[in-house]
Amino acid sequence: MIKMTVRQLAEILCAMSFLLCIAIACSEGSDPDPIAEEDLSEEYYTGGKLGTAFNATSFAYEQPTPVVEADADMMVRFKIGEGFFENEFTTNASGIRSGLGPVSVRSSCLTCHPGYGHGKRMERYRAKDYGNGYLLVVIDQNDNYVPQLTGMPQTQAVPPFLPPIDESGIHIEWKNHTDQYGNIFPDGESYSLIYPEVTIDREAINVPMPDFYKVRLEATIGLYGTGLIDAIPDDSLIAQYELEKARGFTLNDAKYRPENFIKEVDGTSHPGRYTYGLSRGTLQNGPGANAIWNITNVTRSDRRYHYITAAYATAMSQNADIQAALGQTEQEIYSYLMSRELPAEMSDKDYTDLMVWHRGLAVPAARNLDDPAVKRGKEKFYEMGCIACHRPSWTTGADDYSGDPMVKGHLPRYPHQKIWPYTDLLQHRLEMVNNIRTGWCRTMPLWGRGLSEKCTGAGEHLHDMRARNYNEAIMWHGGDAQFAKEKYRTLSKTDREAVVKFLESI
Amino acid sequence: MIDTFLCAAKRALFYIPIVAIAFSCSDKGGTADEDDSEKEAQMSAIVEQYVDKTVVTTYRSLADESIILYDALLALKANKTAANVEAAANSWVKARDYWELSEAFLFGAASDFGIDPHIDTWPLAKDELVAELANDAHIASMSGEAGDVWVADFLGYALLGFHGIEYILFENGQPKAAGSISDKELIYAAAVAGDLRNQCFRLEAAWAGIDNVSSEKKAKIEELDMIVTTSSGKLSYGADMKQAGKAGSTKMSVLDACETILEGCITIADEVGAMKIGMPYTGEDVNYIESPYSFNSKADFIGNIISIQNAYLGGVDKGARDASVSAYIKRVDSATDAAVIAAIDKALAAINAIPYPFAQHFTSNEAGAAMDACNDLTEVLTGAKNVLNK
Repeated sequence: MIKMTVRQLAEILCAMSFLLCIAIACSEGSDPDPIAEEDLSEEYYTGGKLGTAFNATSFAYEQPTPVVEADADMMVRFKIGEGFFENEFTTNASGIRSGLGPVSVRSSCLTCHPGYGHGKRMERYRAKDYGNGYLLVVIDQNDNYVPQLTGMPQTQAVPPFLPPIDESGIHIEWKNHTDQYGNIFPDGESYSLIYPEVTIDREAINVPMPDFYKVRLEATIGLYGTGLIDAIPDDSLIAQYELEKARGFTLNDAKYRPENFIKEVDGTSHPGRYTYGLSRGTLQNGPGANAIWNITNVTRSDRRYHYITAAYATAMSQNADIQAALGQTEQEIYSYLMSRELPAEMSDKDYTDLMVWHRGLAVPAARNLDDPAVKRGKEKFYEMGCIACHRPSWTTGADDYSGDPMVKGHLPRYPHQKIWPYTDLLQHRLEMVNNIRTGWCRTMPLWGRGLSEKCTGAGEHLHDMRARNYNEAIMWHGGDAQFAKEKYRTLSKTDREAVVKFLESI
Repeated sequence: MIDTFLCAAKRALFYIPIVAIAFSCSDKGGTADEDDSEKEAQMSAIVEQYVDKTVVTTYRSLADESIILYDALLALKANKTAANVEAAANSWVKARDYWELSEAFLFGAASDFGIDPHIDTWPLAKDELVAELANDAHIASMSGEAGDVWVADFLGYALLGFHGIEYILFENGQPKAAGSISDKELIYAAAVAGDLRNQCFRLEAAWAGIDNVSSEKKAKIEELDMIVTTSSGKLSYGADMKQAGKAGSTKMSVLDACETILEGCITIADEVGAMKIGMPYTGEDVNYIESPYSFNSKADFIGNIISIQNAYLGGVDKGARDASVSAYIKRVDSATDAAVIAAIDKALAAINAIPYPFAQHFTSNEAGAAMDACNDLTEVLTGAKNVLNK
């Protein structure tokens, strides 16, 4: 009660300073600009009142939500959890952040999420290159993952084990693409498009491989605001699916059959809302909750096994050099690699702290929404129909979050907030060359992306970071978004720039 | 409760520049515009001074010392004497100090290029180091002329940077006896020092501009094909700050640039109080203590707070300080400026009062007082950031 009173007092004092500012800034007789009436509009609160941070500096993606800030104990947990995200795990047998391996995709979360944002476009694949957020997607003719490798294949190993894929055999070539318009807008302005062609030498793969395999890249995305996304009710996701279905969109219907919902350890089941493939239904069993285990292979009490395949365990256990180096038999090595009863290397408390941090990351507040060019860009963004998929806002539910009993009751909550992620959280098909696996791709949230270069040093877009700026990202849109792209093409240069300015501001 | 207040205040103050723009009445006397113009000029001067006299000065000292450290390790590798160990250890302490003096500006190049984790990851992957030292092929690669490049390419961050070199040179707060350091350890340490030097060159060049560093540094950066500019604007990080609000800069305005200066200070004050001192003091994690081999933790903390002081007061050289965030805030709200200066002094005094070495006194009352003082500093700096908007 006292906290609420102080908060209210603070709001009142700040409102007074706001009014004072108006009084000082305007001389007698001037008409108040109607923009000011909207100044505290809800759109600035991208993450709602409970989930927005008013920080537009290089640190914008790292901020705790007001919910976390208001709770001293939660703030401590947030900072400790942040340490697990920011710092390297090591192969040490004991001590802080130990337990990396025997094989790993990365040694730290930050490597893939530079500045807490999305991965950078890379010229090569090296697990230790800072900012490399790429995951290798190794698939067969039908876009199924090659079963000999994990869905996210590792390229690092603790000797004497070999990595499933030796990085020296991975090749990324960036190719030029000419679209149906010859990369030229009707007004004569041109643009360029590039896309990655990725190959992995057969001899660089340390497990038996099928005759045919191909490789795609999927990049990490930013972490801020994922807790707010979790707070959107399942019913709202299903309603959005039904709405778009009624509008005639072709959608990935199988995802919305209850029997295909994602089943969690707490007995709940949910439609997918996270990852490009909509493979995760809650934050508590989401990409981050899993990544801290399967990217590092650091075990915990509910994941007392390695993220590896039987094919890999067989290959390593049968390798004479490894047997000799370890002084173990084939069976002993295989049993270790495939064990379901490994000791937990990360404590439940540390994991819970990580999840407090994860769910506690705020969304940066929108900026410059009252700038005339931004307003014009918004008008065009809505008019072109971009919002059919980039749905501007959602309202969270009671946020009685589920998915994992271990963290239940410890995490920040965001009930009944109007939030502005600019995504329908459904999958669409953009039909681009060297497309994402299956062609189905979740609509990317657009909130906060305008701060990307400032926060991470890079500002690329799309699932493999092929678009080097917003303009290229829009021009890569085909398939379901072809109609909106065509409208964008016919805009004047000034209006195209206004659309980009709007995107940079949300 | 204070948190709650600050939270609400931050929210409201975020809007004031927007409102000020919306209500600026240029056609009716121009007072507000003149004020804005004056404010912008003051803030531009602050940013110029900050880039040239705090950031670049610090990184130049760091880069220069990193050359000395590398050379000292080469000398030690060639001739294992007590004097050479001492020279290398002394240089490590100096280089370490310059690095800690830079931690109030970990944004920009240090962050975008991942140089912070590259050269300052803790803890050291000791088990892996043992394996590396036993790997003759790897040792051969490290001992070659391009050993610095090889370690950067093939060793993880937990084997690179300051703490790897520290582990080879120090034990229980003292330089090791020369005879107790193996040849292979020195091959590793020299290669890692070479890489550390390269990364420090990159920091300096990224902020100062490639044409404003020595020919030796420039040649190395070009040889290694290091990117030293911002991504889309292709500006040096110093120019990116100085050209705030102009095309090509990632900074929306000079106010944004000045807020970033303070945000860098807030982040490291919080890190020292809540994490570097707080984690071991509160018992949350005693493994958090950095620089335990050299017992350099206290010096690390002090360097961090002085880094804040330099950033806030307008330069490394006390005799050449000029336009500063401090001076600006003093004009707007002298009490807040005085509170920041006092909080910096108090934090420095409190850290100094922790019995040496921190690794053995992290539960002392003095450590608790230092944690509190740093947390207080975080809070007043947050208040100062809000004053910038006035």
